[in-house]
Amino acid sequence: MNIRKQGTTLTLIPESDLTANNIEGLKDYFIAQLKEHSDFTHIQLDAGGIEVVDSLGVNLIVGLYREAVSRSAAIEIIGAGENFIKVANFFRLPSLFPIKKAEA
Amino acid sequence: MSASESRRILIVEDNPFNRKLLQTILEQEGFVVEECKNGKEAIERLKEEKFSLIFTDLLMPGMDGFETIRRIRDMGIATPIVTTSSMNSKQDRQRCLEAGADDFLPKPIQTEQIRELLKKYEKNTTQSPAAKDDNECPVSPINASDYRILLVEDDETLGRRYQQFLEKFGFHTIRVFHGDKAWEIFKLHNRDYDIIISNVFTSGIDGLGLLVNIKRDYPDTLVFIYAAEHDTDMFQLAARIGADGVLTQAEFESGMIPMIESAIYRCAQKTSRATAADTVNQVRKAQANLIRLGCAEPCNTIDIAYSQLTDAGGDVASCRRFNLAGRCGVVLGDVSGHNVMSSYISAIFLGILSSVWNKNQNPSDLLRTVNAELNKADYADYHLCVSALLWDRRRGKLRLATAGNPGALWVKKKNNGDIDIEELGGGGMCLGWVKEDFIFTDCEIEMTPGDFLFLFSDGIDSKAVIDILNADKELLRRETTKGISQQILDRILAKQVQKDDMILVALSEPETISDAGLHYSFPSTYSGVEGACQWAAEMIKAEQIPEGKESVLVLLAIREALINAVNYGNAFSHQAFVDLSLYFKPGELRVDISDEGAGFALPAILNKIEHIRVEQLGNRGLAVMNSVSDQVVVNGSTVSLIFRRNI
Repeated sequence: MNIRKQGTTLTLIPESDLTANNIEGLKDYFIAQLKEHSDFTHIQLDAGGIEVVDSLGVNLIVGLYREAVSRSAAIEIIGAGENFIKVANFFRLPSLFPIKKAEA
Repeated sequence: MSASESRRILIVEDNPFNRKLLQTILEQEGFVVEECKNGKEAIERLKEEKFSLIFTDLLMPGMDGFETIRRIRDMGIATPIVTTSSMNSKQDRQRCLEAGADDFLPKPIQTEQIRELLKKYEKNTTQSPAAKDDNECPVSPINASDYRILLVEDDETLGRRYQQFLEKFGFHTIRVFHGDKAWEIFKLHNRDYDIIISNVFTSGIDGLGLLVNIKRDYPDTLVFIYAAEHDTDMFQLAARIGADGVLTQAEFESGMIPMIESAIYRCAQKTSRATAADTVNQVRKAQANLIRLGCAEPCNTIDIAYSQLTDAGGDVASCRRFNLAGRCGVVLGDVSGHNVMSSYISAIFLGILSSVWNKNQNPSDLLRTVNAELNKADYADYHLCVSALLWDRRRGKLRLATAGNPGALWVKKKNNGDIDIEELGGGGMCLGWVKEDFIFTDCEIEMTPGDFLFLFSDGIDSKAVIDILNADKELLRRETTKGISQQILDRILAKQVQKDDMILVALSEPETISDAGLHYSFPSTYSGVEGACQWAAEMIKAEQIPEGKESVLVLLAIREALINAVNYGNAFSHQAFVDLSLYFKPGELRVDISDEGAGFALPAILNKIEHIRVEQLGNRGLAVMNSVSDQVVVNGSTVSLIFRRNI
């Protein structure tokens, strides 16, 4: 898991799938980073390293979205691969926030 | 049974032509014929009405004939059942009889054969109103007319049915609708009633409240509580408060009378040295309802034979298929004594088993749990010897635990055709005696195809079985396990006088389980789910994904079902396993996921993804399974996801 902070934009870069097997560690890490960089106004989740998302992963993304909303911050997903987008569309995540495809 | 009831026949048949044909023949013979289109309808009808004979088809949508027969017998209905079917192989006939049918009528139906059957069951179909039906009103060891019962049931139909049932046995029975009314009447006229029978859920004071009041002020009054379903906590609470008997509605008609007699007998023992009257007839009939051989599923791998002693005991034997991946459980119980109380303890044991078995498939866990439940109730001098096993057929692993029962015989086939018999140790402490839970023996073996395992009660000497197997090795050279237990039992009985109930269970997997599917098993962890998903992704080729389905979403649905099995089915137990099977047909993919849990009920309205709020966290996994697949089928602890080509 990497993290990048540029101004008030906080970019979370998971390097593993958002699945049940990894979710607890990722959740703890996300919470810690949001607490440490609490002055953010914009959260980006870089999905470039994510191949698979399951319902627990979607719950984590929705949790991030709710956290951002509660802090009046914007949120978006960037670098999403084809499979990620199919699952995100299935769960209707684009109705909540922008999801940007990975650049070819 | 009234004269009119003795001329009534029920036909259970989904095919209208066959129904009409049978109806016409029976009406020509002078019978009143009632019809049901399926098993479920028949079960409902039989709750309300009586018939002298039942004809049922075997292949019907929904509940098939085998299941229908089994349920009818579970309701305690002894009416002769004749199956009618074009499935008329020897095995089919055997299955019918095992399910509880009395006769088999092959299709196409011949009028002459029906006449012969009617003649055979003449006793049931021509009885006069005054005649006494042994099946319905057995000889009671007590004089029921000496006892007056106050029955508390607020459901009109159920109340009437139970009142008639009790009156049939000679009990003078008054019914009231509410618990508070019962208490009011009892306070004023307590000398008029000896026994209270109450539904646990009644208006006003509930059954337990009534029990508390009566046992506090009138401790000599017998109180029995019944409930719609077995609830261990409630049952134990009622027992602690002082109920003289607790049972489920399903057991009311088979268990209530023995329970009352047992309580009266115990009261008599407390107050006098007089021995109970002869209870044999009564006990035998009660016991007939308690011995449940085999499970409802058709099976060629587990075979049970039973030989009952002429005076009754309380032995039980039962097996259960936990999931479609071939995990089965067998329990063999031997209750001490040969009297009413033995049958009563058997009923208690079966009640406990029905609630805890699925959740305690590991035999040692099962014995510990049953022991704890029995100890809560304190049945004084009575105890249970039990053997329990869990057989994971696909992996060939078999775990056995015993509490006071003999062990088992493991018969291994050698390459040269000889056999090698190993005695697996049994023993341990009987259940219900002491509270300690480390008192059982257990072992685990790996059975290979062709091996046999024999499990038996202490009425059978292991040496007798060994001698028979050594003398006739042909016995084990067979394609199916069916019938072998009876053959061995017959040979034992030909050589010795029976001194106790005898139950013999044989298990064998004739060959490695194989089917058209692909199978994968993993320990129940999230990393196991990852491995299973990778395996599924490799096994399901792009062209095997039904047309119109997104492979990423199909794999997601499978993943969700696996997570569901780990989280809920196996409750995060790392000792448990999950089985994943893939079946391919043109235009269809079926995925079976089996865990070791008790199964689950699909919510009546299972939300599709488009209907759930995105913020909602619960049920998302189930919603994915339901949204992506075309059908979700839950069968015990196996969930099947069926994906079909979009048309």
